[in-house]
Amino acid sequence: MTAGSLVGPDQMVERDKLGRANELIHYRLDWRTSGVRPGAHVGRMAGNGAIFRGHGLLIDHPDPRRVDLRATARDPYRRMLVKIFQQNAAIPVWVIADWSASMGFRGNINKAAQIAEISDQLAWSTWRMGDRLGFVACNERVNRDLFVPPRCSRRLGMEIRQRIASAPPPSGSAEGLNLAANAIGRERALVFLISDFHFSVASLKTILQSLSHHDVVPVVLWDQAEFADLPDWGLGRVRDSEGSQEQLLWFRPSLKRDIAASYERRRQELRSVCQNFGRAPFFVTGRFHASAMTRYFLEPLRCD
Amino acid sequence: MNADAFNAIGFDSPMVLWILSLLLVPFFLHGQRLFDYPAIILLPVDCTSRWIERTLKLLGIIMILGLVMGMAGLHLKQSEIERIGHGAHIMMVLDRSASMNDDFAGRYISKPADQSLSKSAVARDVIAQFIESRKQDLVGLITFSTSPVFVVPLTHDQEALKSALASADVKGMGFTAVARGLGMALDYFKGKPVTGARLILLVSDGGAHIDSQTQDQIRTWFAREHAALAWIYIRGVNSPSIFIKPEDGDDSASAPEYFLHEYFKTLNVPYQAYEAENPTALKAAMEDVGRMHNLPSHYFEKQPRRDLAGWGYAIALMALGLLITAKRMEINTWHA
Repeated sequence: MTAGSLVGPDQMVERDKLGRANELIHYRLDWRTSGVRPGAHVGRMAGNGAIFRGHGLLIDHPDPRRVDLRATARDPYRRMLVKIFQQNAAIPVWVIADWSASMGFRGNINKAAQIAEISDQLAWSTWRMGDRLGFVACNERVNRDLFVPPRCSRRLGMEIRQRIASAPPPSGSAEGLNLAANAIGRERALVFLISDFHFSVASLKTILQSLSHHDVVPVVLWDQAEFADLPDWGLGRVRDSEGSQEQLLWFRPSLKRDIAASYERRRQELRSVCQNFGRAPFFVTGRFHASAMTRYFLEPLRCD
Repeated sequence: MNADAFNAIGFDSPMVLWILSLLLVPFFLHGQRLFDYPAIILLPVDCTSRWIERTLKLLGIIMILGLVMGMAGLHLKQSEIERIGHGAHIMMVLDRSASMNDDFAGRYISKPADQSLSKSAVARDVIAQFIESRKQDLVGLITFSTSPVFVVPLTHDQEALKSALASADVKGMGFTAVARGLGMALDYFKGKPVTGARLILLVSDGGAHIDSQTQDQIRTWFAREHAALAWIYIRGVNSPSIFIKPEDGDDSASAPEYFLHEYFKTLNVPYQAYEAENPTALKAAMEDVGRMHNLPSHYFEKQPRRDLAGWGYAIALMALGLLITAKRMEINTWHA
């Protein structure tokens, strides 16, 4: 799903008196968590859920409210059977943010602020869902200053915002993104991998491989100024944020078309790679809209 | 330009050439505003942009080079170019005595419309053709009868020579004072550097007795001026030959031509004598003289110093103009 086509009119997300977004990101999972904490997602534990799991003996599950009389009557061994349900469980949700120098590109949007915005909305949504949210930022290694351990808190979004605001600007390369898997624990989690994905396909595969235990949502942050809002005419020298490469560009309409085509090819490439690892990427090229993210979760996996 | 071209280049102030070390600057500095871009790898390979980048670097180098060359005062040194020419310095000494008015048969030509031409007219025609065919020679003209007249100094100017010949059209008069004519020709060469083969071309129809004192003087002058001598003797029907010894009893007064020829042979300079008994023979003799004196001459031509500083500044200005254009084309803000 492409965000660009689904983002509606440019409207501010409604916020309450505390400045939190009223619009929630409704994320839906197609896997069962093995988590033990009660929550909103279908889990593997037997317990107070809504989904029928099977029958058990009253001796083993001494809850007389769950006695299934019809099943007891049908039972050839004349045992007293009770219904057993799946326990709804909470899942950990993680935001893994790319904190490499390329994320410091200041075009139309500020990508660091964009990360804060998405994390804030996720924090609000996860709190409403009863899930825990953690935040990890990586460049060559995991950034300890920006590490927020997972918890379910109303203030979490604000805290992540403040951490990002007071952190040094993004720097270095994105080579350490695969180390984030060590930081987020072994329990299967919903992971939002927020990056511009300006690294090689090999690195991307390594990162996705390291996170393959988790449900990874690649969130691609691109700025319109990178590929569409380019100067019409003139000479400009560009330097790679993460390397020492420099290049003089003669901006002209044909070059603009070439750059746009190059990004479109990259978009297809990212889509095909990420889909092989489970989920299509979610592209954000302008303002982030929670409703677009919700729609992304409701949309079935497209195989194209 | 040859291999010596490097030696031909000079500088007024060579110390300024140290500034040439600035030539390395364009390799390290570009003076352009840098924009951070997140992903150079996603930019398409753009050959045009790459060529522009290289051209700008080259323009920077050219500009510095031009400025430094201008400041250092680049110039081509004054040089001497060795040249080899085929010209000779030919001084014509033309007889204009009264007998030259006769035709080859010895008749006096009174009317210009007459069939046969006078010896002087034929000689003038042939000399005019000779001059025409010898453009690389320096030719001068002296006419003589009783006394010599200096008409044209050695020159390349064909017009002047032809006019001078035309002026000799006036009827000849008086007798043949060979010695004075030769003396004037030799005197002209005196004191001038020998830069080509010197030839005194005596065209006359008769000889004259030269006394022994003058003979010695002329011999000395010929030796000093390294001049060759060619005598074209225009022989009328009744005139004696210069090659046949006259009968006994004739002396240098009655048959001066033979004795003059004998005297010329003793000059110890290259000497040729021709007897021309008709216009065709005269022409053949002149051609022979031309062939004999077509030896290469060897001289140095001076090339003046040529200042190239102006060119250096002009090239620098051009390069600078292009660089300023490129600078003006630079974008200030990333956004369209």
